[in-house]
Amino acid sequence: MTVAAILLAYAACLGTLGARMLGRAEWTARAPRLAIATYLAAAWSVVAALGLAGLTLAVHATALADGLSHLIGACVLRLRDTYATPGGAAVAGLGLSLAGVVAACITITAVTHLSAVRRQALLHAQTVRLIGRPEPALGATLVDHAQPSAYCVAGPHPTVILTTGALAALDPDQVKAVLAHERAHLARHHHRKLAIARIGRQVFPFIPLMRDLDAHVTRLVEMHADDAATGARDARPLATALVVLASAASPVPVPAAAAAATDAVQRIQRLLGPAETLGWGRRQMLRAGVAALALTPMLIALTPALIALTLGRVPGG
Amino acid sequence: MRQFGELEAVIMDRLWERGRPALVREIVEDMRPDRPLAYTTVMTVMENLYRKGWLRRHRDGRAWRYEPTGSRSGYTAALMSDALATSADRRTALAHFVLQMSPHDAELLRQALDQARPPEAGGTR
Repeated sequence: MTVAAILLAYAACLGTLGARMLGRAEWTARAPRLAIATYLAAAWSVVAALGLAGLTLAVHATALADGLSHLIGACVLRLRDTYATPGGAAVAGLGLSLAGVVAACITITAVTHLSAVRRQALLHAQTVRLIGRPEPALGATLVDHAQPSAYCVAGPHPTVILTTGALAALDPDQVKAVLAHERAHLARHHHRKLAIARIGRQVFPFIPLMRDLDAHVTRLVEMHADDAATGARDARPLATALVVLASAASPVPVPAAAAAATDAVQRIQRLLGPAETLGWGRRQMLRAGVAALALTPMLIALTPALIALTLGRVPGG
Repeated sequence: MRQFGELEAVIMDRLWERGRPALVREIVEDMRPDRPLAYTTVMTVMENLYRKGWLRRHRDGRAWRYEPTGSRSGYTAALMSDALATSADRRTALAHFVLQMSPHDAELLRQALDQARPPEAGGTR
């Protein structure tokens, strides 16, 4: 019971206070890759804590205790004792339902979202292949359209797409920078991180950390791709391309433009400002933080088992 | 499979250029100078395009005449509106370089850029 309560409290704290701390942290823009890992580890941590809270409630009254004792070699009776919950079967049932609902919701949402995304990407890539012109020199497919635009499709046929409008609006250096940015999205599998973030938001929109996950990861993958595209080179071609493409008149209203605009402003300021990377020590600390986030729920959940283990092993086990 | 994909694009090109329904044989002959292909290969690719909805066909004697279901520019317009759609699924499928923004934000960004331009570059422009 205590373990489940601790896990639930942990999930609540991380899901609310953790989200606020991460949202305010200034280092995220300086180390976007680490920041993405931190956000995803925190999201995983919240979900794992919720699921494990359910499972630990059920250890006492169910066959889970047998499995666990087998796994770590602690005495079953001691194990049952350390995970004891008042209420017995009813609480155990409640716990199992919690774990089951969390797992089922995630699975259903993930399958629906991923298959929709895959279908979209396949169809889009196929259309691009039929109506566009591959430009091996650019490493992109050129689509004949006046609207200046550049984007990429991940999936079975990863493709970078550039419109003739974009080619006309940008100078060669800017084109190179934009294409490097798009290729970085594909090479670093940013679509996978975005998919996880979007599934998280769809399943747990009531947890602040999960609700904002999508927006933060979207912002951070753009910064990560910006960094990959500029490297040690001059960042101005990329920054200028951002302004040119962002201010091109669009015949299609884009509702998400408000958030995207603030992100674009931030990206440009970041590209034009002095490069501020994190020191080695700070990076190691953040990496340790990612590992801690990933493992903490498991450690909390297993604490009673470890106590049972130190109290005595199964004879001959 | 991959080669078929590339052939699909070439054959669509020919059909759009022609502007009128074509027999498989006509496409084979049309392509022969640049690219001699077996009749069955072209037929398979065109049947694939028909099944995927890119071509429609009608009987002409014992053969089929094929034509694109839409114009190239029509497909391009549909593609771009799909690319700019903002549903969650689409945004995951396609990563944009940047989305459109208001003229006000764009002006702010231009100013930021101008300030960042080094003096020598600013002088020559």
